[in-house]
Amino acid sequence: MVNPIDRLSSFSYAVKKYYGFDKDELKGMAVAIVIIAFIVSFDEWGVDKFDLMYGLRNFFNAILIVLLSFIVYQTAQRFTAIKSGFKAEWRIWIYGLLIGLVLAFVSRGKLWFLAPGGVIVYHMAGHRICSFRYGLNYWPLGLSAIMGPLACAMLAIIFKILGAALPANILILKAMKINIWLAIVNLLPIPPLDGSNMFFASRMFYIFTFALVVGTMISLIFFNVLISLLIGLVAGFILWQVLYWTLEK
Amino acid sequence: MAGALLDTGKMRMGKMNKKGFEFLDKWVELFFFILLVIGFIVSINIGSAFFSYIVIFLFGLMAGRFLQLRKNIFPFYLIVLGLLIGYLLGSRYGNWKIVVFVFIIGAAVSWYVHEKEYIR
Repeated sequence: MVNPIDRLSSFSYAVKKYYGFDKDELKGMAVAIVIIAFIVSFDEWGVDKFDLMYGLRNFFNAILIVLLSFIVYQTAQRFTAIKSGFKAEWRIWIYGLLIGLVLAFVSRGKLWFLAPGGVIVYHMAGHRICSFRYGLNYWPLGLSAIMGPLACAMLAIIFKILGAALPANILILKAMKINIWLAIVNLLPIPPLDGSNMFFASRMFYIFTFALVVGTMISLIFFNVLISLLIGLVAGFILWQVLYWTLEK
Repeated sequence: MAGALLDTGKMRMGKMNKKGFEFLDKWVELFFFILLVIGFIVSINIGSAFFSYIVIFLFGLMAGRFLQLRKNIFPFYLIVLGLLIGYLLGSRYGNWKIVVFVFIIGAAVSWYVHEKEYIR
């Protein structure tokens, strides 16, 4: 017979019990996916003139890509939160989505402000035996929040590698671009975006991660993965040092 | 001596408080101006009347949510009015009456949806 304490501390048990999405989350995610898909397919509703079928096909493709990105994003956050003894939930940010829509109309789909929402976590004291269990603290919250954008960045790198193997596939390049924007925008330190949680947890770690992700993601458009990672690391290191010597020391 | 120090402290506190109160007194004008500029910049960059009406409708939705969450507080109405005025000033395409009408429709829809708690 399995010891109930062992069962309680097992990661797979916690995932099975706490990974699920509630009704509000699913509703919010559906709205966010549709709006983000609309933003990223804004300038793809016809080549010379408006074409409904062409646009709908691109819109559907965008929905699939955004759905995949959302699943990866949420999974990374939830797994990290569960591992730290928290239950993560995602909440929609209506102003962020509306700002994204406005910017899409103003820039004719050139500027993608993909800020769908942010994570909130609940403390589960029973799952934090042998560690601090007297309430929420910033670091695990920041860590679980930042895993979402980092997972998107990883997905963008995977799509870049796939794009190198299949250079004629436009859909892969689009998927890479969407994940790049998702990773960068969600790392901004604007509450309730996920970057803000890490910003409040540790400014030094935040600035390093932000520069690493932004540097890697922007150079991913022009260079291969290794060079991009190197540029990201150098950017992260420089900004980290600049912050330390100017403000934090 | 102690009295003099206390006076100096009071004066310093008074100065600090005065600065703080100045900002607190003028925050409505500040946000009014910021939103006026944002509305102007957004509308001047829009290239067609159709897009102009869609964007002002989206602004209306935002305003409806914003005002519904802060019911009966006059300064917030003034701030939203700043956005609308800025938008109208920068609007190059479309009729200004339709812009105002679409904005009110958007705000009313958003207000109603939030009032009935279809969206939280």
